[in-house]
Amino acid sequence: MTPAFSKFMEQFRSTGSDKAQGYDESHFVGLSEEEKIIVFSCLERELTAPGVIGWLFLLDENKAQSALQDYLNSNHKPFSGLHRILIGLYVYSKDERFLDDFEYYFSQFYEWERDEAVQLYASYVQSEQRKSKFFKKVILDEKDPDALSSAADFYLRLVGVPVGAPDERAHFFRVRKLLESRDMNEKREGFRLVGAL
Amino acid sequence: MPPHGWDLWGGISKKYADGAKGNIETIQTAAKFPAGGPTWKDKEWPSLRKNPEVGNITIHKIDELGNIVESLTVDSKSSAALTIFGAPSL
Repeated sequence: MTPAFSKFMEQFRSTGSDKAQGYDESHFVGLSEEEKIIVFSCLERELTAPGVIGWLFLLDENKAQSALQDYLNSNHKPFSGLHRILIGLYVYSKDERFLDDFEYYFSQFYEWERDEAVQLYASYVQSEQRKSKFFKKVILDEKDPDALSSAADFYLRLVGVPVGAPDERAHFFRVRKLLESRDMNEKREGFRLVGAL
Repeated sequence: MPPHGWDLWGGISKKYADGAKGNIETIQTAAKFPAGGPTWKDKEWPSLRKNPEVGNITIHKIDELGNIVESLTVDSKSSAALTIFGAPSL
């Protein structure tokens, strides 16, 4: 048994806050081929948890893609972790239909997942035009304050509002607050200030 | 449906990050330095980045005995921080 495998199994069997620490390279580097098969099978059981999909693809890209696609096809949508699976499939296939589904299901993602969903979208989607459109829609429609502030934050960075110097920072947060407002007139003012109206 | 266990722990960590003020210090094991694990990358760091009250973040790398062996300080609002901590875990 390799050190990586025993370390992986220890983390796999952990619970509570230890489990939430997730996996890192030390759990995978040096695994034997036989161990990789067992580890893949263990991770498949945690497919929708954060920090799992990337390691599945590292272990076996083709098998990972099939596992995600099978899970997607065999579970009634929306389900917890759907956002991770759709972004994962998009990242590794570059098929934008997964983004279409992500955008379609976004409002149905669980409340505690929507902020993370915005962050995943911001980090992994390549088209700036598509991101801008998505963030604007979230800013206009989203009720969850965390997801809304993430969308506003990423939108302002995307359109080039500087946030480096103290005076720039004050302006950035003033505009972000307008975009986060429930008042549509304030939102419109926020968009106007960055030239989006 | 209740949150997944990892999401639940992440939510608790995020609550702490939401209330943070000033400069922040955090520790990471050598294997996770400097980017951090899922709870840091997905919940704590995004919350600190969006929090106007938070300035710099210093990440200390610790060895297995708990000694600090390296430290890195970054402005929480900078693009450098986005690069260091990278994308949320998939």
